[in-house]
Amino acid sequence: MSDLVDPGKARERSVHQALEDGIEEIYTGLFSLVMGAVYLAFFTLPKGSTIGQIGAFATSGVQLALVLALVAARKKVKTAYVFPRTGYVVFRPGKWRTWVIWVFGVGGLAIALAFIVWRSRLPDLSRVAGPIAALGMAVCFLWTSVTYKFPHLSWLAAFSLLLGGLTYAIGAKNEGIAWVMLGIGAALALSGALRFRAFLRTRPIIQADAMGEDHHA
Amino acid sequence: MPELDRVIHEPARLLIVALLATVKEADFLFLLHATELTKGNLSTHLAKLEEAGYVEIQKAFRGKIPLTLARLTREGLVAFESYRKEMAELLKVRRHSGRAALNRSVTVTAR
Repeated sequence: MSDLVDPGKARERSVHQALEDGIEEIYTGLFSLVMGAVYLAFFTLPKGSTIGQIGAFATSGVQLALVLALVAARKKVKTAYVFPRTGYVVFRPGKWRTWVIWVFGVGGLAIALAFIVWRSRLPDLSRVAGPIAALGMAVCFLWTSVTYKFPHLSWLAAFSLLLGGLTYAIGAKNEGIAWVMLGIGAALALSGALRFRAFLRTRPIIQADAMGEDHHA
Repeated sequence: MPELDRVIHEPARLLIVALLATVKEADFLFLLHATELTKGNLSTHLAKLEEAGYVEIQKAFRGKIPLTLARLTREGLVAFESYRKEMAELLKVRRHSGRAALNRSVTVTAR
């Protein structure tokens, strides 16, 4: 009980409860698969030609359509399968969210500007693009694993690092980012699907009339 | 010594308020799972919190599913924050006086 009275712990516990259905994992995994496939398509399109430009435009359209379809599907699945089992919740933005957005936003902008301004002087980092992306993902997985107590995400962090190492070993350069996203996306979607199956088996649907409706007439 | 808010001080209600402080809104079922209270208990405590103006209860539908949504009001959030501060102060005072008493007994024993 003491854990719940502490707002920080209460938030961790509620987030854990909200994530245990595996839907977010499936969604993030499929999102990563879409992004990885799109990046891979971009890298393989012939550059500077009309076909390449049309292809890039079409790929962006497909990407947008797939992401919108994923968002709609997640909402439908949550309404049909999750809310009748574990309830509906909307979280307040965490106190670190603004800070994280600023760090990522300003950091990303600074890196992009540095690349534009000092492009000729910077060393060629394309060889380590895959490992850097994999390291970023591994840090995110580890943080989520420790903060919200999902040990299986530590394995995904290790898998991410392994993928990053592989892209370096095969010399995948910038395409390495796409391969890491595809690998992690597939693993995450599979892990989410297994969790979702277990969730459906262990959590029965609770009828509306048994949810205290009569107490709040 | 600060006066504790009796509405929030009750353990089950403290649980509910602490949970609602972390979410924008949650339905009855979510609170039921998260607090591990019984339906009747949760319902009674929510009603008391609603009566005190700390919680807002709203009936809604999400698709075809009826929801009993609960959210902490501004007064509820302020009351919870001041309760936490008062509790922390009380614990500080208690810890301080406990240490002083321990020091006194050590001095007496040494004599």
